[in-house]
Amino acid sequence: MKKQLTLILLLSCLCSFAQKPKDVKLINNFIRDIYFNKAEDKVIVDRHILIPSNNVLPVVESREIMDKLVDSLRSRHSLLKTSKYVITSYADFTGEKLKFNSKDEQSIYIVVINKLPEKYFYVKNKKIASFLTMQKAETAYFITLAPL
Amino acid sequence: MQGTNSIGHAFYPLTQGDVTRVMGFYPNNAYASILSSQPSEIHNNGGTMYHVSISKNQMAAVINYSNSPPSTYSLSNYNCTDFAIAIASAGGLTLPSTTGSTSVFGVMSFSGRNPGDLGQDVRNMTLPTGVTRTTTKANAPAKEGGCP
Repeated sequence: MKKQLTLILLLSCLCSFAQKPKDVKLINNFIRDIYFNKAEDKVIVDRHILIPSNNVLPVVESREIMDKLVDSLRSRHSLLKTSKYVITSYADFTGEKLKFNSKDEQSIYIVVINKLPEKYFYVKNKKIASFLTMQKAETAYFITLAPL
Repeated sequence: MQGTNSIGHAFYPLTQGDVTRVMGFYPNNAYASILSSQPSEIHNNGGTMYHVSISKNQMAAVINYSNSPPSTYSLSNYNCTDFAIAIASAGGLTLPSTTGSTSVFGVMSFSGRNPGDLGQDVRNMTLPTGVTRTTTKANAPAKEGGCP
């Protein structure tokens, strides 16, 4: 039983370890598509964004909102176009950063420019679930259309 | 209620003898959904900065309400401000309940009670007998003492 538990824990750690580079690549491709490849908003949403599959809002409307949010992102974070950036997992970034609910820290990534956080991403099911944050007192939250 | 570069937050302190607790109502994940509710949780807001406060000595009813907080959090329908208004109401203090709208990148918006409007309402409201108000920025007391 103990051996089984150890093996399960080890496999779980390995899966998490293996997922990190894929998530980093996902975010990098998203940034490249927005700021460098000038891909269409709809294409970017299809490729990179998680559209929650629930009954809160029709998928078509969710996509339209995400299209607009992606479009509005183009005019922000202009440093991403001109500076070298690094994408790191939330846990690996040791500098000053937003404090999120710790339950989901393994899903959070930070785009860092000049050793400072420029943009935060929340990744779920190999897609970007949110790139918008808000802060309530000392705790930050990602804004999503619907529960994930 | 606080702050610049954030959507603000409403929370409440309770002090009885040597025991102090400062509590706020939050989503239980690292994300907050705009369109629907999600499970809630109570956080310690000891030491959190506030800009406006109002107080009335009605401990028992407030503790009763605090012990059974609503199980779901909703940015639009029941957030930290709704909880603070309900706590005040349980303590016999009726607070104004202004509904405001917050825009996300100018693309979508959500409406509901919010810390900014509540803060303004508290600044401007006529105080009932026995109620005190401070409008000077300060930090909430730290969590102190153990409960029996």
